[in-house]
Amino acid sequence: MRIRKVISILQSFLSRGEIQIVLFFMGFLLFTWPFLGTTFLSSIKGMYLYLYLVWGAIVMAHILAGIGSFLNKRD
Amino acid sequence: MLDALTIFLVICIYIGLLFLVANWADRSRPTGRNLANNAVVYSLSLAVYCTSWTFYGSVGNAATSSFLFLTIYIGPTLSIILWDWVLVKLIKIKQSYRINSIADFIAARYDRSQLLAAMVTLMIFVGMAPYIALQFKAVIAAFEVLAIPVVGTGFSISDYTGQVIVVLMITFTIMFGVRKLDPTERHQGMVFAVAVESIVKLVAFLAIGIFVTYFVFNGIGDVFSQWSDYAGRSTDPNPNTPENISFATWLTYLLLGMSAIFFLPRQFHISVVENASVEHVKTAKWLFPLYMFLINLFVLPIALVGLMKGLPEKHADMFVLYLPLQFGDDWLTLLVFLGGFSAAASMIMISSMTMSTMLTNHILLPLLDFLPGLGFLRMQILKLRWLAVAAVILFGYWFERALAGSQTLVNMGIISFAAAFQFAPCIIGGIFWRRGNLVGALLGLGAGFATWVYTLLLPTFIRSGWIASQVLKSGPWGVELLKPESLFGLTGLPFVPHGVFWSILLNLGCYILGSILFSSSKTGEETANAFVGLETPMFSLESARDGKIDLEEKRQRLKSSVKRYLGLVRADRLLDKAIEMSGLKEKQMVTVVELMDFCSSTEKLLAGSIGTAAAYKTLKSADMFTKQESGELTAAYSKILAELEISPEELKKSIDYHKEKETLMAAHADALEGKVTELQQQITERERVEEELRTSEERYRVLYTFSKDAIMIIDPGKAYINANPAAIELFGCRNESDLTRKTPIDFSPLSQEDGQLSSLKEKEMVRLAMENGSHYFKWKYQRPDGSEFFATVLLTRMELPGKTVLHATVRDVTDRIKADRELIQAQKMETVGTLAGGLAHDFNNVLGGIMATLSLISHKLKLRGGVDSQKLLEYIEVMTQSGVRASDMISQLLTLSRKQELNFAPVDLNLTIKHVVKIARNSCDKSVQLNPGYQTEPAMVMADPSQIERVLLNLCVNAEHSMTIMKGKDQPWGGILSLSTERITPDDHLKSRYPEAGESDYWILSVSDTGVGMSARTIGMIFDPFFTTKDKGKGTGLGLAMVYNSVRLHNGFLDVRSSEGAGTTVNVYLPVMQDQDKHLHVGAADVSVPKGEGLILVVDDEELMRLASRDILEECGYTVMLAENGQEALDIFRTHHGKIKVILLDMAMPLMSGRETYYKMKEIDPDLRVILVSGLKTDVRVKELLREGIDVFLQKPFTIETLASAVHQLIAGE
Repeated sequence: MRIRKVISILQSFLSRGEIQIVLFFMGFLLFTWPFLGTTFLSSIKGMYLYLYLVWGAIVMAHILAGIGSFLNKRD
Repeated sequence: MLDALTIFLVICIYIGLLFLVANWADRSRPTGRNLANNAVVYSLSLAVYCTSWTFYGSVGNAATSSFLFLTIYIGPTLSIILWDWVLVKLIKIKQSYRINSIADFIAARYDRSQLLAAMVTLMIFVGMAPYIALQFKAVIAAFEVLAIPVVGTGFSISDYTGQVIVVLMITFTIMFGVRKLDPTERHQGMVFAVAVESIVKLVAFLAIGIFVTYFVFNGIGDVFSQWSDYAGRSTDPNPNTPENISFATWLTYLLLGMSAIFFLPRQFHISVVENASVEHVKTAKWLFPLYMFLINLFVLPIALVGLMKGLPEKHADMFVLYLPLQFGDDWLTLLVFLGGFSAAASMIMISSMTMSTMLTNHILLPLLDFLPGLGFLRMQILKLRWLAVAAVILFGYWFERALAGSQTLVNMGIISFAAAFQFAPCIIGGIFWRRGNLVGALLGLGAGFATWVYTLLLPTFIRSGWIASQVLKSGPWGVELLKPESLFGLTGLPFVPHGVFWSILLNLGCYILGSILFSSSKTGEETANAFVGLETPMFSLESARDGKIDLEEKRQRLKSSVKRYLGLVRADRLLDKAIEMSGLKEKQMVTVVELMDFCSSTEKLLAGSIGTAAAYKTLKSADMFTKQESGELTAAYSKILAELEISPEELKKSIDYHKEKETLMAAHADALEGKVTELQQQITERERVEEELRTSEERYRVLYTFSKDAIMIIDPGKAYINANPAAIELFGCRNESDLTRKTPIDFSPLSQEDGQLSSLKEKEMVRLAMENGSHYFKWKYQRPDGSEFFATVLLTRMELPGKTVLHATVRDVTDRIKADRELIQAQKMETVGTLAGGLAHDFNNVLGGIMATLSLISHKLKLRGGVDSQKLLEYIEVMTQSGVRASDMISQLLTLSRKQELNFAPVDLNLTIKHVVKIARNSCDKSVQLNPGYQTEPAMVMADPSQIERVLLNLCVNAEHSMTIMKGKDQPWGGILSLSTERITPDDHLKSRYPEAGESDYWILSVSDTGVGMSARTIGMIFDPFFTTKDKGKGTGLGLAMVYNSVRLHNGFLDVRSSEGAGTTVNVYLPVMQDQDKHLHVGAADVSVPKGEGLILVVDDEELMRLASRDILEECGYTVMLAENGQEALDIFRTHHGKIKVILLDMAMPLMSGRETYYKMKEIDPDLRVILVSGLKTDVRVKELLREGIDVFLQKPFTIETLASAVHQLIAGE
C-alpha cells in the first residue's frame, strides 16, 4: 500500500503539464551540449553510462507517470 | 550456416504464423473481443519505428559513428513527453474527421485541398520508397550472410530471395491491409501482426545482445574495459569516440528523431489512424520508450565486440548475424535473422499499405476525375489499392536493386527522416495556429520539399553517380551561392544538418509568411477553429473522466434562471428532480458529459412547465458551460462519434430518428402513466376490498364456527352442503359428513305441528325463501335417534358463483315452546280453576233443576197416579235444557283440561264466538251483557280450535273482570261485552305498527268491554307473565301471557286499545285461511226429526246410551239391535250385515275400541255405513276414521233431531 501511495504521488506529480514541459526541456538539454561535452563523457564507457542512465531515468519517469493509471485499470 | 531452402521454409512458416495470428485477430473483432483494441498491442505496434535500420543499421552506425544512432531513439523518447498535447490532439481530430492518412490529415486541415494532399503523397512516395528499398536490402543481405548457396544445380534459390520476399509482402499486405474498404481505415489483423513482430525482434536482439555481452564476454563492464585495451592498441583511426560527433549533427539527428515519431507516414498511420482509443496513449507513453531503451541496450556492446572479434567494419550492419555464426550458434542466428526479417517486414507492410491509400485517394482518383474515359475505375477502388500496394513494394524493390551496391541506401534512412520532418510546420501549425492556411501550407511544403530534394537528395544521387557532380561542386549554372551542400554560402555544417536547416527554415518561413499574407477561406477558418479549438487532451481527458465540475455551483447558476419562471421553491424541486433523473444525486463533482445530462434533464422538465422554446432559451441564457467545458464536450462527443464509426451526418440522422422515437415514447409513456395511475388506484381499491373481504370472511368464519345457532348451506330442493359445529351438535350427528348430503326431510318427522306433511311444507318454505329472498318459519325436526326438537328457521337466498343456495339459520326453541306450553297449561289450570268454581256452582244448579223436576214428577205420580201431559212436557223441557247446560259445561271442562298440543284445523271464528258466548253466559256475572257479532261468511282460519276458544274465553274473562271485580267498591258492576270478527287487508300503517304482519288478509277477532280500562303503561305490561292489575288471589297474571303466546303460535298478533275509565278493546289478528275447502262440521245442529225404516245396530258400552239411542231410533221407525262391546257387535254384524243399514258406533269402548271394531267390520263388508259417536269434540282417531270411510260423526250428547237426521241422511244417500 505504501509503495502504491508513493507511486501515486509521483504519478500525479509527473502527470502535471508544467512538470512535463520542464522534463522535456531538461531532457533536451541533458542530451545536448554542453552536458555531452564534459570531460567525463569523453570516453565511450562514460558516454554510454551517461546516455543510458539519463535515458533510463526519462523512461522511468514515463513509466512512473503512466503505470499508475495502468495498474488502476487492471484493478 | 543454414541452407537457403531451410531459411526459405522458415520464412514461409513465419509468414504463415503471422498470417494465422493476423487472421485470428481480424475474426475476433466481430465477436466483440477486439484484440487490437488493447493498450499493449497499440504500444508494441508503435515499434514499427524500429525497422531493419534499427536491427542492423544501428550496430553498423555504432561501429562507425559511436553514439549518434541513439539520437534516433532518444529523440522520440523526448517527443513522447509532448504526446498529450500533440498526439492526442491528432487522434481526436482523426476521430472527428475520419482521417485515414497523413496526407488526408494535412488536406483536411487546409481547405480539403486535393492539391496539397497530392503534393504530400508525392513527397512521401519519393521519401519513403528508398526506405522500403533499405528494408529489402537488409533482408537480402542477411539472407546472403546466413544461407549456404546450393551449388551444382545451376539454380540458386538465393537469387530469388528478393522476389519471394516481394511476393510474400504484397500478399500479406493486401490480405490484412487492403482486403476491404474500411471507413475507419483500421486494420486489426495487421496491427496485431506488427505487435507480434515487435516482440520477435526485441527478443531476437536481446538474445544476441545477452549472448555477446554475457556469454562471449563477462558483461558490459568487461566489454568496455577490453575495448579500452583494444582501442589503445589499435592503429586505425577510430572515429568511435564521442568527440568526433559534431553538435550540429547530433542536434539534427535528435530533432529528426523527435519529428519522425510523429510524421513518418508509417508512424502516423499506426499511432494516429490505427489508434482505437485515446486512453491507449497513456500506456504507450511508457511502454514504447521502454521498448526502445531495451532494444538499444546492447547495440554498442555488439558493435564493439564485433570490432574486437575482427569482423570487418564495412559489414558492421551484419555483426548481429556474424557473431552467432562465428560461435556456431545456428539457432540464435536464425532467431536473429527472423528478428531482422520482422523489422523489415512490418515496415514494408505498413508503409505500403498507407502509401497505397494515399496514392489511390489523392493521386489516382483525382486523375480519374480528370480523365473521364477512366471513370469506370472509380468502382474498383479496392483493386486500385491492391495495385498501389504492389506498385509501392515493387518500386521499393527496384530501388534496392538499382542501388544495391552503393552506400547511398545507408544514408537514405536519415534523409527519409528529413523528408518526414518537412510535414512538421504545417501539421504543428495546423493544430496550434489558427492563422495557418492553405497558401502557407502549400508554400511551406513546396519550399521545404524542394530544398530537401536540392540539398539532401540531389547530393546523394550525385555521389551515387546517377547525376553529374558539377552541380555539387559549383552550383547550378555555376552559381556558387546555390551549391547544394553550402546553400547561400553557409558552410561548416555537415551534410545532413545543412540540408535539414535550410529545408526547415524555408518551409517554416514560407508557411508563416504565406499564412499571414494570405487569408483563409471561410471553410478553412472553420476547420482551423475546429482543429485548434480542441483543448489540451490531457486536461480534458482527466476532467472528462474524473469529474472536476462543481455540480452545486452549476445548479445555483441554473436556479437563478429557472426561478424566474417557477419561483424559488418549485425551481429547487425541479432541479433536484433533474439531478435525480441524471443519476447525479450523490455526486458533488461531475464530468462535462454528466453536466450536459443534467442540463438536458432540466430543460425537459422545464419544458413541461413553460414550453420547449422557453426552456431552451432559459438554459441557453444560463450559460452553463465555460469555453473549456464546451471544448471538452465537443471532444467527448467526437470520441463518441468515432467510436460509433459513423459520419456526423449519419449520427445526426440517427439522433433525429431517436429524438422522434423519444418524443413518441414520451407521449406513449404519458398515456401509460395515466393508465398506470388508474391501475394503481384500482389495485389500491382492490387491495382495500380484499382486506375488507378478508375481514368479512374472518367475521363470518368466527360467527359460523362459534355460533350457538345452527348455520347450514342448502342446495335448494336438495341436500345440505355445509354445516357448522352447532348444527352438527343440534342435529345429533357425529361429524359434518353425517349432516351434509342429507336433506331437511331426513331430519324431519312425517308431519309438522300444523298437520302438513313435512315434505310438502318443506317445498313450500323453500319456494317462499327463493321467491322473497328470505323466509322465517317454525319447524319440528327429528334427530337420527328419534328425539324431536322445535326450531325457528330463517332461510336466506344466497347467490354464489354459478348457483343459488339457501343459507339456513336454525335456532332450537324447544325449551321456549315447552315453557310456553307450561305457561299455557298453567294458565289453563288457572282458568280451569276459575271456571271450575263457576262451573261447579252452575253444575249443581243444573243437577238441582233436574233432580227437583224429577222428584216433583215422582211425587205427582205417587200422589195422583199421573201427571198432566202439558205439565209433563214442561217438566221434560226443563230437564232437557238442564241437560244441554250440563253438556256445555262438560264440553268446557274437556276443552280446558286437554293438554296443549297444537292441532291445526280449519276453524270458523263465528262458531268459536258462538261457543264461547255459550260458556260465557254460564260463567259470567249476570250484570255483564254479552253482545256477539257474526259474519255472514265463514271466518276461516287455520288454528287449533281449543287454543282459539281458550284465547277468546280468556279475553272474555278479563273483560268481565274489568266490569265487575276490578271496579271500585262504590262502583256498580256491569257493562257490555262485545265480540265480533272482521276481515282486513294489511296496509302500510298496520305493517309499520306491526312488522310481523304479512301480506295476506287477516281476520280480526275483537273483544271489547266497557270496564275500567287501562293506562298506556299498563297496556305495555299486560302480556308479561305474572303481571296482573287484580287484587291478590284474584289473578295469577298468566292469562294474557298465554293469550299472547297462543296468538303468536298461530302467526297472529294482538292489538290493545284502552284508556282508563273508557273500557278496552283487544283485537286478535289471525291470518285468513287460504284454502277454504271442506271442514269438519262439529256438532252442527239440525231441528227436524226425519223418520225412516231399516235395521240399525247400536254399539255402546254405556247402557243408558244404548237404551236412549234405541228409544230414539224406534221412535223414528227404525228397528234396532244393541251390542255392548265391539266383539258382540262384530258377531251380530257377521250374521246380519246384509240387513243392517247403519251402525251407530261409540268411539271409546273397552277391550275392542270403536276403531278396531270398525276396521274388522269393514273387512266383512267394505260398504258398511257408520255413524261414529264420541264425547270428544275433535280427536285424531276421529279424523283418521273419517278419512278411512266413516260417514258421519256425532258428538255426545246428541238430540233426537241430530241422530234422526244423521241416520236419515245416511240411508237416503245410499
